[in-house]
Amino acid sequence: MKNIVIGRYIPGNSFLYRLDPRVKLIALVLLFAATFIISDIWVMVGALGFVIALLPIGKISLKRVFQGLKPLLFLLIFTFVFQILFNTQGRLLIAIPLQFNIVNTLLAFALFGSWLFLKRKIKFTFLSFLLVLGLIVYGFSELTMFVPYNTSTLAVYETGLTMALFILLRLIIIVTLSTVLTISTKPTDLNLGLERVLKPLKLVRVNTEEIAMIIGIALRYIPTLLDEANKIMLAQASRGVDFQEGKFKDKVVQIISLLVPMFIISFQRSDELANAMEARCFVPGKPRTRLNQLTWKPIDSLVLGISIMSVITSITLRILGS
Amino acid sequence: MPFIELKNVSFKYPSKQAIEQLSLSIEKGEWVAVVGPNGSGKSTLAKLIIGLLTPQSGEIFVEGEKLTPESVNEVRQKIGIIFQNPDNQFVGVTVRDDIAFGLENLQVPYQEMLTRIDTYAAQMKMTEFLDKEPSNLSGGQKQRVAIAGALAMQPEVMIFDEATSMLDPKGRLETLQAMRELRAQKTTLLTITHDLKEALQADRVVVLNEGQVLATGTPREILTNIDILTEAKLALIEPLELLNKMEEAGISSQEWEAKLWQFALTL
Amino acid sequence: MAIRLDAVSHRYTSMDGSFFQAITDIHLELGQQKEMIALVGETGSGKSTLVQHFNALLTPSSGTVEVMGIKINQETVKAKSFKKTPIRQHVGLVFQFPEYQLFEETVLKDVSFGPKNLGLKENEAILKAKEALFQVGLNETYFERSPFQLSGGEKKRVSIAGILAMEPDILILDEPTSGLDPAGQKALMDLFLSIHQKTKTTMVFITHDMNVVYRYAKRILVMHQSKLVYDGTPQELYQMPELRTWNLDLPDSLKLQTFIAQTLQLKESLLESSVDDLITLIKEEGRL
Ligand SMILES: Nc1ncnc2c1ncn2[C@@H]1O[C@H](COP(=O)(O)OP(=O)(O)OP(=O)(O)O)[C@@H](O)[C@H]1O
Ligand SMILES: Nc1ncnc2c1ncn2[C@@H]1O[C@H](COP(=O)(O)OP(=O)(O)OP(=O)(O)O)[C@@H](O)[C@H]1O
Ligand SMILES: [Mg+2]
Ligand SMILES: [Mg+2]
Repeated sequence: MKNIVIGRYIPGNSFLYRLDPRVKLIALVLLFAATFIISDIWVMVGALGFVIALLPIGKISLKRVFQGLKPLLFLLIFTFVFQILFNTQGRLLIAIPLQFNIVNTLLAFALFGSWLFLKRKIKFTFLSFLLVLGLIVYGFSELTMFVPYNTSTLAVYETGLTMALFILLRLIIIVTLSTVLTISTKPTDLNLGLERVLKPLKLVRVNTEEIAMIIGIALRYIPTLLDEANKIMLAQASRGVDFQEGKFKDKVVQIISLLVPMFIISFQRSDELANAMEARCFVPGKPRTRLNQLTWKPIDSLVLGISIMSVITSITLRILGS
Repeated sequence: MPFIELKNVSFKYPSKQAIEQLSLSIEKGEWVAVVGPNGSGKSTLAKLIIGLLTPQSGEIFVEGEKLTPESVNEVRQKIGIIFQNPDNQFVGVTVRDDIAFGLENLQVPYQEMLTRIDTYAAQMKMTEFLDKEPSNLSGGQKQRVAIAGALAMQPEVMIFDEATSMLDPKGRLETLQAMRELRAQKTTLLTITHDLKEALQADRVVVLNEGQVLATGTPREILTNIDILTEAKLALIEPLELLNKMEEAGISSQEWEAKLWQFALTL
Repeated sequence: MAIRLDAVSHRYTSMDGSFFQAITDIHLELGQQKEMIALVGETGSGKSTLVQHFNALLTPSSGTVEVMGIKINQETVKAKSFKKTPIRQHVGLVFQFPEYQLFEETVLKDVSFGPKNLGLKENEAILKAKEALFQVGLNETYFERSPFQLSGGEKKRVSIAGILAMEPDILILDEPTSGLDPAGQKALMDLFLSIHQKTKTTMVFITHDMNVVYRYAKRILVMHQSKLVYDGTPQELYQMPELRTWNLDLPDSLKLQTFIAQTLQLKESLLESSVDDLITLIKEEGRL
């Protein structure tokens, strides 16, 4: 819980830190767009290389960025596997026949039962369980003396594989870039940058300052709320809640025992905060002067130029490629 | 003309009558302490005065100007308020940003903002912390930031709603010291507290009970009056208990009284 | 039936990956004597961190905590057979804000949550809950009310009942009286004292108020900059010159006694004399 890196500024000193937040935001959007335009897997790999090369230049530790990716690991693996399994276009690459017969079905059930049991005793991850299960089904498929009652094939197709890789790389690039942005930009600056970048929306009567204010306060209070969630967990653990164990029915109550206090405390907090802000003459929508001023430097133009170039390059490559 | 005046003010939350027909006036430069049991309406009173809540009946005047939805913003500039929980009033990401928040709202020009931040950070001895984030500050330091932020807006009244109750003894003393300094600068003070040693410092004590003023008078009159204290769920502090008992025993003298009082103020 | 800490340190990993040592090399034993113990120290000195080791909410980064004969350290908690719930039944911890734990629709349901987690049947849990609520001075009229519509002091009592219902041998209270009016504070502390006397429960309470220490504690622990710097009687502590460095105050009673002794220019100390003693004294010596 304490290791969430996304949305967290870490003081440092490099050109990334000195960039104008407006530029960082626009560059981020442009680079995002570029990853969606790229259609060739090797170009995508190149883009990832470019993004990773950015880290040492910007003096941002790879470890930190990886920490940012960690919470999303499950999502990444899931989309990857999903793509591979369900995309059946292109050339067939691998086909593994899977036959369900009496033996492996029974074994699978036995394994599932023992996993449920073992789970209490040892830390057995679900992933390794699935792996063993797969191997069993596959292994016993070869035993032809048992009559299979269902035959299916685990097949991987070329397009499926490339699409899966594609999405994986794109997600990694997007998360890495966002992490770089939040690590290297003070929330105040990020906020101010956002407010300025969104300014054109004012023409269509969107109150951009308010949006920026809301985001800023959310960022300011994320650590506090995480801290609070942690304390609530400890308080309920003191009342005998064991978050690692428990039947499904207990789990529901356990989750409620966390959510209700969390909700009430957040509500109280936001109420008090709103009071404190209003008492200091904050009126939504009223013009304000700003302590933090933004200054445009040559490096900002350079980075903006590079970002625009990457979009143009990816468009060109796409046109050339097709 | 009193600086703040409440005339027959009533306020009801959907489920609870919190303030009932309350009248109260506070003079310029005066230090008024408001005491009373939990739920007696102290915080509600403070919120009414700065216009965070609007009374259902009655009127509130600040420097003769009636508090209305139109005038509320102007009135608020004259009043700074510090709440109980240091965490829930820290708006900025750093100390500097937080002090600036109110100034930005008042549209203070950039240069002026810089000087004011420096002045009031220095006054609250927070200069070296200007670039720190709230998570790196103690409770007492956060309260000092809140005070600096309020003072930077150059209010004429400061309200403290149990500003010391979540602090350790050091933080409490720091905040109390800040109050004394404000008083020395003739800022009007309204301090809400359960701590009678804090109330003792004031010029006048107002005892609230069930949304009404139960009693008002000098600390000497109120804080030694057992009947009032019991009704308002307060406790006699020890030097004053001694003073009372000396009087009962007929061994009190003006000299003793003065000495004990002086002593009580140092607690 | 006791807690023992042996060279316990705890490091928090903060968000930017750096470490923060919140308690350092603590040796401590408590629980045999059935005392009322006060735990004091300035903000951030590690009080809350320390007590969270008493019921295995935190595992020491180094050193060993022993609760009721169960050893808790980095090695033992890894074992599959290690169970934390029994420890939490023995050692009850009430957090500072009742809002952290109240969540059920009714007071009775909320208080029975703890016993139910210990595996008690519904009706047994309800029985324990009722007992605990009576103990904290809340009668039947409160049972079916929503815990969220109670006053601060009442919420506090419900949260304490929620732990008492688990029948702990040791009860730990993190700043139990903060935010309450003086009468409420006194009522709550008196309640702890009476529970302590009736059930012979060891109680540890964290507080910033030295007057509470003076009135209720037989033993006091002082934390300062992550270390346990004092463990002994309050009376001895009051005499110590280090009091200032630890940012501790003296209780009002003591200050008053010293003040009177000075004013009357007495040689002997007036420690432990009540206001009435002081009156008698002033009557005798009272010429200024
Ligand atoms: N937002 C609210 N909605 C409903 N009732 C409220 C609300 N805020 C306060 N009350 C109720 O109004 C009454 C007065 O509350 P208030 O907070 O003014 O008391 P207080 O004197 O400040 O108490 P404390 O000493 O506990 O801070 C209480 O009974 C309280 O329960
Ligand atoms: N979950 C956490 N992660 C990181 N640091 C923490 C965490 N909890 C506490 N700390 C830090 O550890 C130190 C000790 O904290 P602790 O809460 O134990 O202090 P305390 O003595 O209870 O203070 P207080 O009187 O303010 O409650 C503090 O500096 C605090 O910032
Ligand atoms: Mg209040
Ligand atoms: Mg604490």
